[in-house]
Amino acid sequence: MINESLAKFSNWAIYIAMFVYLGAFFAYTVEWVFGRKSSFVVKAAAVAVPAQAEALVGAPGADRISVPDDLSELDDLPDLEEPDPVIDGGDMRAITAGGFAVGLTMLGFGLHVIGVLCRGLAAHRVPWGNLYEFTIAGSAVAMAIYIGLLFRKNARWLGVFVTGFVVAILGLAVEVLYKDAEQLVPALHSPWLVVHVAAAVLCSGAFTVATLSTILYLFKSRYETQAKLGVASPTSMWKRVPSAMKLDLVAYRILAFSFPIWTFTVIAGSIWAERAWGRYWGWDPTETWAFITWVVYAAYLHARATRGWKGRNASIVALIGYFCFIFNYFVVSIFVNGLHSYAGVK
Amino acid sequence: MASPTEEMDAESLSTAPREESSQGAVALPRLSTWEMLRWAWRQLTSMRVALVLLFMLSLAAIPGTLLPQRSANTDPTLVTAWIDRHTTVGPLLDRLQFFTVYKSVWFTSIYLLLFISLIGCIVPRSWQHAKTLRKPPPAAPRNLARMPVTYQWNDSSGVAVDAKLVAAETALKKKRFRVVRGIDADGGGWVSGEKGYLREVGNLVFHLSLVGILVGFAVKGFYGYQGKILITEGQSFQNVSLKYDDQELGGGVNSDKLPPFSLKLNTFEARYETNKDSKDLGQPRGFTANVTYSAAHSDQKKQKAVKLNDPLSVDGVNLYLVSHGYAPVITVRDGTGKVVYSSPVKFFEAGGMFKSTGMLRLFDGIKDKDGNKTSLGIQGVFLPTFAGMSATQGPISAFPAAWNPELVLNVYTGDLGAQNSVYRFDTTKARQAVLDPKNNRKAVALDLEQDKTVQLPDGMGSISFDDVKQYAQFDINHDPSKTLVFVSAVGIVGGLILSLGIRRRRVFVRVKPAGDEAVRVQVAGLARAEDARLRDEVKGVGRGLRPAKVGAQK
Ligand code: HEM
Repeated sequence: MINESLAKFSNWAIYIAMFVYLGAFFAYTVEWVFGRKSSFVVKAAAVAVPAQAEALVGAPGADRISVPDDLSELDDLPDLEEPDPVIDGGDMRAITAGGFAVGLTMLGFGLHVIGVLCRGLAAHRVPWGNLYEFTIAGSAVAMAIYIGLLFRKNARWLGVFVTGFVVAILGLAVEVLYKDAEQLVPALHSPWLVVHVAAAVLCSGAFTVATLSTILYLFKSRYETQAKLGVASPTSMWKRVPSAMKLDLVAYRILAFSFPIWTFTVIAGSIWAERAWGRYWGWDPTETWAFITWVVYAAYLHARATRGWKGRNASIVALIGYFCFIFNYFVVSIFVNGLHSYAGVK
Repeated sequence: MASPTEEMDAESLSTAPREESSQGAVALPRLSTWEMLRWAWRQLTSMRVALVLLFMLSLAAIPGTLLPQRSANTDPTLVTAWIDRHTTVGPLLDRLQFFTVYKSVWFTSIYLLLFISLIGCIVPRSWQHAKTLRKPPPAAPRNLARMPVTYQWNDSSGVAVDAKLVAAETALKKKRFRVVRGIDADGGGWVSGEKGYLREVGNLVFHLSLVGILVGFAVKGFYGYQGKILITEGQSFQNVSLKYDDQELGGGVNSDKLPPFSLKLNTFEARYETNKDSKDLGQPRGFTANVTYSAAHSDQKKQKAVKLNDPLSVDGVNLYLVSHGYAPVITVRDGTGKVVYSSPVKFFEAGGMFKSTGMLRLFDGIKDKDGNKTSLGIQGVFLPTFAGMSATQGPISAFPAAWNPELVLNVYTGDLGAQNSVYRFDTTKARQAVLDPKNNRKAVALDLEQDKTVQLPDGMGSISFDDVKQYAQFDINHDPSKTLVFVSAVGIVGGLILSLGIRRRRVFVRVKPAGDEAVRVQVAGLARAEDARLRDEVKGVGRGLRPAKVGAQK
C-alpha cells in the first residue's frame, strides 16, 4: 500500500529543493557578477591569461619539473596543479554571495535526498520506478558529484552551471514527468531492476556533470585561442573557469569512470530482459539507444587515445553520447513504442 | 645493454598501434595486388577506421528504433500498415531492408567489418603483450632530466652507489614494480621499474570479450530457436515445432528433433489492483501460471509456478510467461440438440479492463432452414466484468478479473471469407443472423449466470456460454549461446575496469658518484596517457631514498 502522506511529503521536499537550488543559482550568479567587477580580478587576469595560454602551447613539456641541485625537501616543490580560478575576485559582496550559494546548495541537496528517499519509503520500493523518479534520483546524483568535486577539488566554478541545470531538470520532472507514487507493474518486479536502474541513475548524474565540463571546455578552449591571438576580452567570464586542459581532464576522468558502469547497466538490463522476455537482446528501441550511447562513448574513449582526435573532436563525440543518452530517456521511452513499460507518462 | 638513448616518449609505453598520421591516405604509388591488400588490411585495423566503423554502427542502428520492425516479438501487421500508409517510400525502404534493420546486409556488414578490424588489431597486440610480459622493463634512459617528472639531489651520507641502487630496487619492488638494475661504465648505475601491465591485459580481455559476444550472437542465430504457444487451463502441450503458434528456427536447428518435453497448464491466476479509490484500479499486480511438466523421455511429473521474471527451464529450453487472456467455453448445438462444438475459445485483449475480442468458425454440422449444410461464424467481445453498454464504445468492462463475465456475440452464416487475424474474419459476403427477433437485434449479450444460451434463428441450433477459462502465452526460447555471452559480458566489465582503472607507469632511479663520498641521485617517472598519481609515485620513491633528515618534518 502506498503511504500517501509520505509521498506528499516527498513532493514538497522536491519542490522546495528546486526553489532552494534556484536561490543557490542566483547566489552563484551574483558571485560571478560582483567578482567580475572587482579590480583584483582584472589585474589577476592580465597575469593569468598569458600564463594559461602558454601552458597550452608548451603542452608536451608543460608538466615537466626539474629541480635544482641539492634540493632536499621534495615536499616543498611548487604544486604542479594549476591554481584554482578565483571567482569572487576578493570582492566582499561576491564572497558573501558565494558563501550563501554553497550553503543553499547543501540545503537544497539535503531536501532533494530526503525527497528521493521518502518517495521510495512511501511506495516500499526503490525510488526509481518511473521516469519522474529516475529524473529526481539522477539529478541528485549529479548534485552529489558536484558537491564532491566542490569539497575535494574546490570546483566552485561548476556551481552556477550545475544548479542551473538541476533546477531546469527538476522543473521538467515536476511539471511534465510527474507521476503519483504507485506500485510497479509486474514486469518490473525483479532484483535486476534495482541494479540495472541504479547503475543507470548513477550514470545519468555522472554523464551530466561530464557534459557540463565538456561544454565549458569547448568555450574555454575557444577563449584560449583568442587569448593567444590577443583578441580576448580582459574581463571575460572564461577567465574564471579552469584551463581548457583541466576541464577536458575532468570530463575524461568522469567518463572513464562511468563508462564501465554504463557497460554494466546495459549488461544488467540484458540479464533482466533474459529473465523477463526470454532473450537477452532483442533490439527493442530503448535497448538499441542504450547500445548507441555505449558505442558513442566508446568512440569517445578511442578518439582520446588517437592522436589528432584529442581535444575538440573527442569532446564533440562526448556531447553526441550525452545527446543519445538523453534522447533515450526523454524521447524514446515516451514516444517510441517498445517493450519497456517504464516511463509511465503516456 | 639496450641503448638508453632510444626515443622514450610516453607513447612508447602504449601497445596501441601508432597512427601513421595521414601518410596512408596520401597519393598511392603503384602497388601490386599484394601490397594493396596489405595496405587495405593496415587501414582496416587502424584506430581511425575503428572509430569510423563505431560511428557507422551507431548510425545504422537508429532507423530500426524509429521504423516498425519485423521480428518475433512485435506485431507484423505494424510493418504492413506502415508500408501501406507510405506508398512511395514504404516499398523502397522495404527493399533496402529497413524493416529488418538488424538482419540487413548493410548492418551486418558494418559489424562484421568492425569485428574483423577488432581481431586484426587485437590478436597482434595480444601476441606483442605476451612477449612484453615475459621481458624485463627496458633500461633507464641516460638523461632523466628529460622525463615528465624528475627529482634529483646529492646524498653525502657516505652511502655507496651499489647500496643506493639496491635500496631503490627494494623500494620499487615493494611498490609492486617489476625491476631491473644495471651498471654504467662511469661507475654509476640505474634501476628501472615498470608496473600496470594489467592495464593492457584488461584492454585485451575487453576487446576479446567483444569478439566473444559476436560469436555468441552467431551461435544464437544458428542453433537457437524461439516460438510462442498459448495454453488454456486444463490443456497440455508437447514440445513439437508444429504446435507452436509462431516460430523462428535457426539454420542449424532440426525441427523434427526438438526435445519432446510436455507441459500442462493447471491454473492461471492474475491479481489486479482492487482498491476502488486508486487511480490504478485494475492494473495488474502479478501473474502466476501453475504448470505440471515432465522432461523429455521422463515420466517424472514436476510442478512449477511460472511468473513474470521467473521462467520455467526444461531440457535447455526456457518458457517465459509473457501474456494471458480469457477463453470462454462455448458450446454450439445443431437443430436437434446434438453438440457440434464445445471448447474454450481464445479471446484477445483489445480494450480497457481486458475487454477482449475473439471468433469461432464452424464449417461442419450446422444446417440452414432448408436443411443444407452451412458454415457458422461467431465473432464478438468478451467482458470479464460487464458494466453495460456505452453509446460510443459498445459494451464495456469495469474490471479485468472475471467477476461478471459476459459475451456479446454476432453470428454469421454463409461465406465466411478469409480469416483476417486472430480476432476476426471477413464478413462482407456473410449473412448476419438476427439473434433477438423480438427487438430485431443482431448482437446479443450472453451472461454466464443467467441466459446461458441463445437460440439461432431458423432452428439452426443454439450457442451456450458454459464457463470461463484463462489461457497463458509462453515464449519458448532455446539459446545455446547464453553461457558464452555471459562469460564475455563479465570479461567486458572486468577488462574495462582494469583497462580504465590501472595506470601503466615507469619509474627510473640513477645513482652516480659525485666526488667526496657523495652520490647524486635522480628519480624520474614516465606514464602512459593521463596519470594524476605519477608525481606522487615518483615523490614517494624519492622520499624513501633520501637520508632521514633531522628537523625536516613539517
Ligand atoms: C565495438 C567495438 C569497440 C569498443 C566498444 C571498444 C572500446 C574500447 C575502450 C572502452 C577502450 C579503452 C580506452 C582507454 O583506454 O582510454 C578501448 C581501447 C582501445 N581500443 Fe577499442 N573498442 C572497440 C573496437 C576496437 C577496434 C576495432 C580496435 C582496433 C582497431 C580497437 C582498438 C583499441 C585500442 C588499440 C585501444 C587502446 C587505446 C589505448 O591504449 O589508449 N578497439 N577500446
